[in-house]
Amino acid sequence: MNEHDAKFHLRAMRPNGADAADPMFAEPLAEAARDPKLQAWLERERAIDAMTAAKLAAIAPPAGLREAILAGARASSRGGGWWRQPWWLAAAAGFAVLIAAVVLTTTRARGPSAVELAQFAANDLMQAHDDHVGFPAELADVQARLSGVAAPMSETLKLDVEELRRNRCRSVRIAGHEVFEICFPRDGAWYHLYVMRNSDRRARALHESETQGPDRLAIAAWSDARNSYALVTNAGREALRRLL
Amino acid sequence: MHAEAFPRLVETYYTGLYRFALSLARNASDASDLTQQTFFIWATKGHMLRDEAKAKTWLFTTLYREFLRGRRRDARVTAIEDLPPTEQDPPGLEADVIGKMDAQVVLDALQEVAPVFREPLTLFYLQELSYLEIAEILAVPIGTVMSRLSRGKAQLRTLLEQRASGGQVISFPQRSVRS
Repeated sequence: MNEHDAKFHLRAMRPNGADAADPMFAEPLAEAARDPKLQAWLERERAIDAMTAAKLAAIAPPAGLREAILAGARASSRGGGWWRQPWWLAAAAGFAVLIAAVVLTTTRARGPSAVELAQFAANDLMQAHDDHVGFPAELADVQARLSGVAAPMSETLKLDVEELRRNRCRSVRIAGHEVFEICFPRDGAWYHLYVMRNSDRRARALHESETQGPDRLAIAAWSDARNSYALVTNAGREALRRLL
Repeated sequence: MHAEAFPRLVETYYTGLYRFALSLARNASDASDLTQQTFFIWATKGHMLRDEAKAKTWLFTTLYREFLRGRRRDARVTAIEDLPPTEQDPPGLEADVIGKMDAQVVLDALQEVAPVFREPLTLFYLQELSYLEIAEILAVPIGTVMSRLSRGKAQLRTLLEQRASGGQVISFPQRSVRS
């Protein structure tokens, strides 16, 4: 092994000694032991590497990152539904996410919570929604009511899921529970309302969140005595808040 | 791996992952997102990994793939042939010169190294991964890792030397090629 080859290998040896027992470095190290010039180069190389590594080690992660990761994992472990998607947890764990109130009181046995319905709704809208195509004419009345319902919708909205079913409203299932989805225009923007029978009568808090990424969606979720609702729009958080 | 091992896993690796992410993304916000996303993927798929000893490589590999997923390949690959000739041993730079520099200055210099060299170089300086593991994470042959480390170190030291002497930093060419 010549000097050039020895240096080529030794540059890949970590300065903390972690590779000392690696057979790959045995020959170049032996060569350095025989060649004072190469040995001097190696010592200087390792000193520079060690100092550079120390500087990199001085870069600390932002405060709260570890806690955010663990909080995200705890949220993930609740329920473990198949509908969970990476963007949601990233949002939930991130600092940009806005959560006005989080009351995760529902277990799988009682059915999805309003928050889980919101997760599902946003995911459905990004991945499966057919962009208002094939909307049943029978739903026109319901759609008109939604377009004109007084704010705050979280207090004034009353919907009968049987009416939605009768009028062939699109339905999907979340953890075995039937969810109806209806779109309606309002103030020049489209909103998407997901409704399911309330399986969590204790969860009355209004939840509000916003996804990250290019398909930025504003989401609100709430429950009343009969139903759980998730309202989603890409018109922005302020537009959504005007309805709440 | 059991769920109770997750906090230990986070504690052990989140700092190194963040530093790697920071060198890739070059801003703290994206680095934080990448780190969180990596652990989220672990939380959803990590249970499929039976060998806990592989967790470290798995996490770094996942973070790197997530970074690449968010980037167009053309924007990432720098034409190696466009880079200045390697300076095998930049003269004049000594460890104590680096020692006097602020950590952020060193990080800034590292982030100016061409991406194709910066990726293995950052993993090398984290000192948590061997050249074999770096090759696995970056999906390149061992010889390529060694070559990139060699050239990456030369670039980094040239940049550090310029900072130490107050010289102007000259950016590497940005033109890209398809591999």
